[in-house]
Amino acid sequence: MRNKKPLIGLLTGISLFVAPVVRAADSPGDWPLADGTLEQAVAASLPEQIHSPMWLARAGHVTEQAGLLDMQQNGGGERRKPWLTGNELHKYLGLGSLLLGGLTMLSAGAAEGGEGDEGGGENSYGGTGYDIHRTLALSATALGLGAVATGFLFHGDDIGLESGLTDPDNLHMSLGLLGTLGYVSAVSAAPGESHAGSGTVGGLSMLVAVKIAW
Amino acid sequence: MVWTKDGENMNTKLKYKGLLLVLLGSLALPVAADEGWLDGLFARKNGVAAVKNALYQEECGSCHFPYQPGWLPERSWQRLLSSKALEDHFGENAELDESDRQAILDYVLANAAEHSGYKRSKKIMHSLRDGETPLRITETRYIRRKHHEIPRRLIEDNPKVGSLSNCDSCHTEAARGNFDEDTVRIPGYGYWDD
Ligand code: HEC
Ligand code: HEC
Repeated sequence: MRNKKPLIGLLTGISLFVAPVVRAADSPGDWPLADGTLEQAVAASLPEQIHSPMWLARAGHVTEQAGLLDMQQNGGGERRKPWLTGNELHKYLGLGSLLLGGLTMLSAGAAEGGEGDEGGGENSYGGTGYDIHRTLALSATALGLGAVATGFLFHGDDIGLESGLTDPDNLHMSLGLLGTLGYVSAVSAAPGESHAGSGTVGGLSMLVAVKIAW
Repeated sequence: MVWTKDGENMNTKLKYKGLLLVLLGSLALPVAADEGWLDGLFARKNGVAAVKNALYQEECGSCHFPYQPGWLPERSWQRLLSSKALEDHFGENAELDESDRQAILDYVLANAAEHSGYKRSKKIMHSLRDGETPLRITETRYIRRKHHEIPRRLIEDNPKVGSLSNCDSCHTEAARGNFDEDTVRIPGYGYWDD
């Protein structure tokens, strides 16, 4: 039973950043297919979306196709903003990771005094408080790793060692990386060893990293 | 973990303290926000400081987009805004009467890139070589790098743009100092996806 927990954490994390995406897709202004003929546009864009391993990053190209359709039909039209830009994906992942990191910290107390502890021995961890803390921590870490990956992918050209740490993008990258490493090391030390220190350092680094880019 | 009686007491005490803090915090936050104490903390600084000077806006925004002072260092503005330079300002006469020129110069120098906490200004400063004094924003390495992938046909050969100097043709929120890539719309082309 217990080994399903990481999966739950990951799913929570994913749903947290998919939610705004779905919302964005719902708003007619951003949705590329809103005023094209829906069937054609879907037919044109679906295979691309499915076969491409990087479907998120390539969402823009789907939009381009819809734009072309528009042009053929209306004799005009411009490329619309994709329903999710790489920039936005990175932003949601980072903010989500910060938020979940904060909630993880708040739930730390509950993890220790959980009801599940009563019957357990030294190495038994359980109870709702513990589960929540663990799920939040794993989700925060998953989103943090996602934010790091998308940061390098979409904003890699903004960072460079030659301008040093006073460069705002370099600082943002370093703190975001440090924050995620803090999460990772806290998660790998938990639950046996003390990990509040690395978790807190991670959360604070994440906070400053987000503030710089805000 | 086994909880002693003392431990339990400690725990409840801590809980009340935490609750009190949260309550106080939620009362203090709206007040602080209302008083503007948090403006510096939460103000978005990932663009460039917007122009907040009516004279500058009017005099330097009549022929083109009123470029934010945070795009260039002091030394560039000093060169650009000397009375001699303004007589031949990129082939145009942009002369100002002396008191206006001084007022504009004061404003621009106080808000030049090296005095700004905004991200784009910092990026510009980092992209300049020692002593380099660009007379165009579009000549700085940072701005050149950000636009080098855009083909000519979308800038110079695009009748709705004409020149990279017309920032607000493509950057829909340029006047507010927001140059975020997601706010770009190239006229006749649309969203740019690199
Ligand atoms: C009479 C019209 C006129 C006025 C008034 C004027 N400019 Fe200009 N400015 C120009 C022209 C023309 C260019 C060149 C634009 C181009 O190359 O597309 C230019 C270019 C610039 C550039 C360089 C833009 C780039 O390519 O990066 C700066 C900076 C600038 N002006 C600042 C100012 C300031 C500050 C003022 C107010 C003191 C001012 N201008 C007033 C006509 C004017
Ligand atoms: C022809 C349209 C066009 C004009 C004119 C233009 N830009 Fe841009 N700019 C773009 C596009 C497109 C991008 C996005 C490039 C990318 O993402 O690779 C961009 C990106 C930028 C960026 C980086 C944004 C980011 O999120 O990293 C800055 C800063 C910027 N432009 C400033 C300016 C300034 C200042 C001017 C005027 C002096 C200007 N631009 C004029 C089209 C334009």
